[in-house]
Amino acid sequence: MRRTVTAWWFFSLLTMAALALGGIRGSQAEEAAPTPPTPPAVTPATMAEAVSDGLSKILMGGAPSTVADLKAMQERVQKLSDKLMLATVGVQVGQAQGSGVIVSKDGYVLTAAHVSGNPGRDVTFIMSDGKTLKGKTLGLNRTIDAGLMKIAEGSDFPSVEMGLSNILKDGQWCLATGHPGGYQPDRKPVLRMGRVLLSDNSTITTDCTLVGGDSGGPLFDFDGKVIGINSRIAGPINANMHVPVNTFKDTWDRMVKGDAWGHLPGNAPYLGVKGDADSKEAKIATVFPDTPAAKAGVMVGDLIISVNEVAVADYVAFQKMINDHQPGEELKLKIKRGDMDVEIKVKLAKRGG
Amino acid sequence: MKMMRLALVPALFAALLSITGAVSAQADRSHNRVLAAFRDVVSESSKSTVQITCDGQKSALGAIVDANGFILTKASEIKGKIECQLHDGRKLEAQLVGREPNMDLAMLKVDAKDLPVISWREADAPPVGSWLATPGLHKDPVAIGVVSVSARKISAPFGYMGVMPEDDEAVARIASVSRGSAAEKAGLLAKDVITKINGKEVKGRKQLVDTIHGYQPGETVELIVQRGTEELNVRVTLMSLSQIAHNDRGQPDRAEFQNSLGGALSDRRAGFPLAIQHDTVLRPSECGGPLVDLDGKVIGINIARAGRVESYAIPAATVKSILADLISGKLSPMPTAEKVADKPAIPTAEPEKKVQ
Repeated sequence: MRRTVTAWWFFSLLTMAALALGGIRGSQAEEAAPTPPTPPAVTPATMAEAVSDGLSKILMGGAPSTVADLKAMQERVQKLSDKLMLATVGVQVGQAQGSGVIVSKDGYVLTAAHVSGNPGRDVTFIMSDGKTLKGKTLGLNRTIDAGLMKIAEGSDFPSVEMGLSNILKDGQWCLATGHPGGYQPDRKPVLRMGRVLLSDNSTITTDCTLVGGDSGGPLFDFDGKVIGINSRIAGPINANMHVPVNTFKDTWDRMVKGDAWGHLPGNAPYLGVKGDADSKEAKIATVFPDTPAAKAGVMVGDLIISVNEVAVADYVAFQKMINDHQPGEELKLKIKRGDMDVEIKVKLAKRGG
Repeated sequence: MKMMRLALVPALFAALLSITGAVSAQADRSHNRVLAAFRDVVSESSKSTVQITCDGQKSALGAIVDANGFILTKASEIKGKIECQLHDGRKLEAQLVGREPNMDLAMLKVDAKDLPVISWREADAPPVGSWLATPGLHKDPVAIGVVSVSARKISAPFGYMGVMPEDDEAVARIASVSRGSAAEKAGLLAKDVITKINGKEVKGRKQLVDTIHGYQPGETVELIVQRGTEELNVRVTLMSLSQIAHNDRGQPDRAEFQNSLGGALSDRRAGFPLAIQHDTVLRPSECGGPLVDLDGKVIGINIARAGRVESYAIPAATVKSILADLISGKLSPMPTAEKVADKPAIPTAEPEKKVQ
């Protein structure tokens, strides 16, 4: 049973870094969001057309019961699909291939954090007509798998609005697009239809089927507004997970600034020490054997003075500083050991890895 | 490290509950209430749908295309003793009378008259986002979905054995066998000389490579191999380039793995001249039958469960263009000795090192 819950992150077809730790970690505690949200200016709802009461009830979670109901739904999707396809882009960041969605005329693109990887990276966007445009990755919240990017050349891009992910109803009908398996020149973005099965602040689960390459692509409501970003899957066909779009709106300014925070599940950094709770300084109480700290020669009793030349106030601050780095990064620690000053380089490992 | 694993267990457990919840959700797309809305849609086409069993196993669905007992289905699922169950409950033995390998379609014949024939959609193919239903023999459809991508050619990937041949255009001698490859699994060794593939002589590196590329991953080829003074028969089940590359590096093939999540795929699932992609979740044994629009008109024949997010159907117009030849016997049911597959000019990815 346990095996069915493991979520597989959509690392691109080319990036083979295994990241197979499942579960959805609560992320709210880690983000005491400081900046007041400033979502981007959006055009007034153009899609908000008169919808019959019957159809609107179905779209918000009801089941169609007649062929007429099905036709009404179909007509709506057919009407929306061109616009949704135009705003769906293929993205290439380094070796990673994924999808994205343009949410402003000036070229802000939502994607998944595990597609963009880091802020400031070069991105190639592939528009629905196959044209390629250059751009950069901006901020990312790795814990929830949200990433922002911007197209750097051109203007007046085909865009869609961000909707609301906090008022989703179980059973609400939705649409997903993206480039499963990676962008293919002879294939437009691929449409899937399904329903919201579960949703909370960190994850929307639907039965819009997803697979590698869809990462970063949009989940839409039947008004054609983005309600989520494709993120990961588990074994069952109806376990397709998306990042709720509100997380982008709530952290928009940080994202635009290029802040990166949190860790993808299974990708937290690990040093291998424990602090002395009684000390007011960053004093090491335990060095666990066979860890990066032990291998680099960190010793019990060491006082950590700085990390990469940034002064350390106490052990809690030290822990936070470590947590701001990624596994594989090399850090320079300045240490006071007795009356000696010691400098140690240590390469962070992956927690649990 | 241990602490972390333990700390994750509750999260996993929570996810387990929620996903189990999802599976039994009141509100998924294929909920009975939604399927029931399609009863009128499939009421006519289900009468023209047959359940095909091969050697007692449910193998495919089929579509009655001629009142005199002609039934269209997916060729590669058909083998052995064929039986067709009709909507009225009759179970009839069937003969294979035609086969079109590029589309993977087969024509069966049962001894019956005045059967209800499927009704083709005459209008253009339905646009992206259109509802589709796959009728079975019952009042609810087998499955439902929408058009994901309009019709396009689905290229067949090359098959690979995973050997590096010597640079010799006279003799097809293996220089090395890559780790975990199809060739290694079949027991091929460096210095082996391949003289025949499925009965066809191969001389030299290029012929070896071209011949193997004529087959798809998953297909099995029979080789005659000269090893020293011995002559051996070797059966190799070909792999994709990506499988070969991953196995050689000792890494799992993530794309293939993800596509396998959520259900089995058709063995033959690529290499079609034209196919509509839709998001209906089908079992491989649910392919071969009609796919209808909301008016109950047949827009195509389901031809493959191709991935976690995709099923393919050969469009009605394409199928209709070969129906007469399949019925008349012009397209022989005998598998051709030399395969003519629809291949891309260039493989989509280059191997890290040149295999085969």
